[in-house]
Parts: sequence; structure tokens; C-alpha cells
Amino acid sequence: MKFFPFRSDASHAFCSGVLQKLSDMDEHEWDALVSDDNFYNSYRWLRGLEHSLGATDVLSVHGSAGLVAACTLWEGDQSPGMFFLPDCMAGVPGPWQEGFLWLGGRRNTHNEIPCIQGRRRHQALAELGRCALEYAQQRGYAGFVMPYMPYQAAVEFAYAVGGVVVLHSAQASLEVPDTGLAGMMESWRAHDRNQTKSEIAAFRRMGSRVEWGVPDELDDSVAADLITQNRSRYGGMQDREWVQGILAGQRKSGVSYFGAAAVSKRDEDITALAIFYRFGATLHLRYFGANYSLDLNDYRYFVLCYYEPLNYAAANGLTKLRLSTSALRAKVNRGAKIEPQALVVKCADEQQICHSEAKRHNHRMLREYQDEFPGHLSWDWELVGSHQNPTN
Amino acid sequence: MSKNNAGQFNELATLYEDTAHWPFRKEIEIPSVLQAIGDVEGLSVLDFGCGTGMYSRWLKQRGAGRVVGYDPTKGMLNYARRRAEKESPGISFVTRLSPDLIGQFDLVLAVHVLQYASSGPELQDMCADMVGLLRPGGRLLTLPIHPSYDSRRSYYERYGLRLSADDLQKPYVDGGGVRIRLCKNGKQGSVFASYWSAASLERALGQGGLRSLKWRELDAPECAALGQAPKELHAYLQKPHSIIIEGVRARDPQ
Ligand SMILES: C[S@@+](CC[C@H](N)C(=O)[O-])C[C@H]1O[C@@H](n2cnc3c(N)ncnc32)[C@H](O)[C@@H]1O
Repeated sequence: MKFFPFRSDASHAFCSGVLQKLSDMDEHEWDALVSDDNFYNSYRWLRGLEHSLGATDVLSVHGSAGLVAACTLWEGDQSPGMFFLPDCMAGVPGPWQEGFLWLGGRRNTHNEIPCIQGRRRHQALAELGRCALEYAQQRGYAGFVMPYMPYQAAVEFAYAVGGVVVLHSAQASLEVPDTGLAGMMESWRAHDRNQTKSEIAAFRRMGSRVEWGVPDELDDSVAADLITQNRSRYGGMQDREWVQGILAGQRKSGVSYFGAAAVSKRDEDITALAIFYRFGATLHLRYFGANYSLDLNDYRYFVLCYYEPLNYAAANGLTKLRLSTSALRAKVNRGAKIEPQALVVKCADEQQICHSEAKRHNHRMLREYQDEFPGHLSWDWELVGSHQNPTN
Repeated sequence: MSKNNAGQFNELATLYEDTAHWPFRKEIEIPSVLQAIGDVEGLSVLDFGCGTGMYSRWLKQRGAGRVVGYDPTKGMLNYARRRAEKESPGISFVTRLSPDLIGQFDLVLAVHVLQYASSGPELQDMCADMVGLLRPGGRLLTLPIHPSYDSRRSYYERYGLRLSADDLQKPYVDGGGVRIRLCKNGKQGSVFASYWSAASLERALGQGGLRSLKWRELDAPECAALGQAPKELHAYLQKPHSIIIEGVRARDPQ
């Protein structure tokens, strides 16, 4: 241990750099920057990806006392889908077919920059952005993006780095009442309440039941098989080995310690499963899988992904259930709120993105969501509204 | 209560947690505090100004019942939450003291916190808050800056610590500024604190409702006699920069 020398107090500047892998960083130091909602940028989640998919570069910004901001890097997908920039930027003119540097974990559907709180947060974010742009330029990227950010986090980051905020997705979430599903149902209209009751009754009538366990107890190949069946049904490209590799990586990184698996069974046969992660006060739904060769109309998706986890969350002192970005209508019908998600983009050539086009696009998207989900939008849509006002 | 001084800790979580491995804390402060606390099995405990939650985790792992860590600095609490959810689940960390916590705890621990009260009224409020969290008969253990710490700037430097009073001629004035710096392997951070005399501390704790006040010097409990402590710790043991004050909340209404 070396306790000298004490330097002068002038040494407050940041120092940024690029590391070749996350394991070069200290887990606790990294996680000290990760807020309760930012599970998919927590150390173990990212290490899991590193184990399964290989290491990626990491940007880090240090102050005199340690790490102040950091994020992992990747390149997005090169084919259409949720991580293909031309799809994310549909409706906003720009050079989206060119290569961009992506900030955050691979295939993350919720991103915030791990960053210190307090007085120097803005400066730390700005330094990370400066470093990301330099990295992008040196390697011939047209700029950088961070997708799937909560709107407020995106505005903050864009402000710090001089980037542009583009709404591109939305995420469903539920506030969990202390009394779980029963409490949630009390706040519903009779029609929705009856529908839920009849779905749960149908599930039971078919002889299905739910067992909760930890992912480590699951057979990865069975879980991967069910998850792949579900993904391929909705256009997913990954095969079973890919999913199995991801689950194995999670085991190795220890992130499965945070996992909870709801499994539906008939007799001893697994008919479906949902895998969640507990983090802070939130339960995050990440995977659903089902055996579609069993033609059961037993509402296992809703039972495993909404009804059961509300009770599980309440029993475990969790106050929020995050339900990802798909099938928003079905989620809204069962009490979910829709939160706006935005991408922050910074082009190496500032002229390549037109701010007013981005504002117009955001305003259009706001109106679409207001029309489609009246009464189900989270409070931060109001911020979207006020920011798109030309006087702001 | 003003939390003006709390924000300065936002960037210091990792460095601060690291100090738990530095000899003056690892060999002296932490074992002294743990010895003073004694058995915690089943106790409800609030760790006031818990920082990274090092003591909270320790208490939970040793069988404390309800453990609440309170700290107004978000940067510290993030560290505390992330680490505890892996190593000692079941601790609740809060950034404010809600009324339902009042009078609930068998033990309130407040390590290196009182020095962040920057005025007499703030010290008074902080002490009242700490004591108010105790059930009648509950114990408070707190570690302010030692009223007779060594005010020579370089005295604690070999331990990674530098205390410099704003006014080197008058270091022992109530409310006087003290800059505390931590430094190890080139990482360094500093915070502003305030000096409080023994009389002011006793008065503030007494007015907060604490009785049977005891002062306990830090020592090296693992070593039978001070002379047996590793040589490099002798200077610290002769003039520790902190001290334990212990007391109980009065049972009778004030
Ligand atoms: C030196 S750290 C000590 C942390 C912890 N008690 C330990 O010993 O490891 C001081 C802590 O006190 C907190 N603090 C500062 N002012 C406070 C106040 N007015 N009330 C409660 N906590 C405060 C800071 O946020 C910081 O985390």
C-alpha cells in the first residue's frame, strides 16, 4: 500500500481512456455508478455478454478518486431489427446506413450511462461523449449512438455531449402495489378485471401451475429451446446454441444470482418459462419461452409475465416491474404504463443531422402514442411534449 | 437538516470503501467499533451516514435483524446498494429519514458523520436525529473527529490521511473548518469537515436525549497491549484521529 504523495488540490481534471475488456475494471467501482434502473449496464450483466459473445472495448473516465463514467461499446446489428440504425432512425433523414459506434451493452433495451451523481456529473458525461466521438472518428465511424435510453436520461446525455435526442421506442412498466396482483386489479375497470380472472382460471383449468425458482436450477438447453421457439415465432434470428451460450455466460458472470424464473408446468412437463432479474427495487422481465408444439390456449404468457410476477415482486419488496418494448397494447390492457425511449446520436459531421427534423419526428411519435395509448403514458411524455415546442 | 456537506462524497465511494483495508481502519477503528458494539444478533440497527454500507453489511452478516443504511449522498448509496445486494441482501438503504423510522432502533451507529455538521444548530439537529431514531433504552455509537487529534498536517499522512485545520494556529475552535484528505496509490479525494470540541459534542448529544455518555479511545483489540501493536500503528494509536462516544436514549420522557 502506498499512501504518498498527497498532490495539490488542482488535480481535479478527468482522465479518459479505452480498455480492451470489462474485466480490467473493478466490479464494485463500476457498479457504484449504476443506478437502480440501469441493470443492463451493471457489471455482471455486461460480463455475462463478454463471456458469451467476446470482449468489447470499454470507455472510461477517471477523476482523482476513481471512476466517474464508463460504458461498453459495440457496433449494433447489420441487419434489420431492433438494433439496426436505419430502423431505429426511420423517419429522420441522416447517414444511418453508415457505421456508427454504439454505446451501452449489446442488445440492451434499457440504457443509461454509468456515471457519478452530483456536481460533476454533467462534466463527466461530457468527457465520456468527447472520448466516444474521438474513438469513433479514429476508427472511421460516422458518429456514435446510445439507444433505448429513458427520455430524461437521453436529454441529459445529449445536453452534455451536444447530441440529438430521437425517440425510437417505448417500454412498458408496472408500479407494483404492496398487495401485488390483487391490488393492481382493484384499480382496473370491471371488464379488465374479469378478463384477467378468466385467463388465470383458464390456465388452471388446463392443469397448468407455476413454480418459481432460480435460473441456476434450470437446464439451460431446455430453457434455450423454449426461448428460441418464442423468438423465432416473432422473427428472432438467434438459434438455440446462441441463447444457450448467453445463459451459460450469465451463469459464469454471476448475474444469474439476481435471476428468478417462473416456470409453468403441466404434470412434470415444462410448458413455458419467464426469466426475470431483481435489481434495486425493480424486477426486469428479460426472456419468455414456450413449447409451442403443445397447442395450449392457457394464457401462460400473461400468467408468467404479468400476473405471477406482480405477486412475486410484492412479496420480495420490489416496487416496479419492467416489461420490455414489445406487445405494448397487451401490456397496457393489463395495467402497464408506457415510457418513452430515446436514442442520443452525435455525428462526427454536425451537419448530417437536422435538429428540427428530429424534433418534428419526436413530436409525431408523441402524437401517435397519445392517440394510441391515451391515459397509459408515463409522466415523462409531458417532457417530450414541452421539449418539442419550438420555443424551447 | 442541511446536507450541504454530503454532496462532496459523490465521487468518493470507491476510495472511501477502500479505506476499510487501510491499517488505521482495518487494525484499529473497525475492530474497536465492532468490539464496542458487541453482539448484534436480532438487533434492529440504523447506520447513520452509512456511506458505502461497509458497517451495514457487516452488521447484517453477523445476524442483525432489521438493518437500515441512511445516507443523503446518492453516489455513496449507489455503491452501498449494489454491493449489499450481492453480499448481504436484506438491508434497506434510504436517502432520507422518514417519520416511520423514529424510535425504531436498538442501535444507531454513526461513524465519521458528526464532523459534517457545519454549524452548531446543524450539529444539534444531527444529534437529535440520531437519538430520535432509537427506541427508549437503545444505544448510539458515534465517532467524531477526536477533540484532541494531532493538528500537525503531516501527522497522519503515513496512514493515507491528512487533516488540515483552516486555521493552523487555532485548530481546536468549535465549528472550525478541517480539510480531510485521503490518498492511496495516487488516488486521492478530499472533503471539508468541522471540528467539534468534547463539550459541544456532549451538549448536542445530551440535548438530543442521550444519557450515560461514555468516551472510548480507539485501540487495537487484537493486540493484548498497545505495545504489541505493529510498530507502524504506534503513532496513530498515540493520537487517533477519531474516538468512540457511546450513550443510551433516555427511557423517561424529556
Ligand atoms: C466519511 S463517510 C463515512 C461512511 C461510513 N459511516 C463509514 O464509516 O464507512 C461520511 C458519510 O456521511 C454522510 N453525511 C454527510 N453529511 C451528512 C448528514 N448531514 N447526515 C447524514 N449523513 C451525512 C456522507 O454522505 C458520507 O457518506
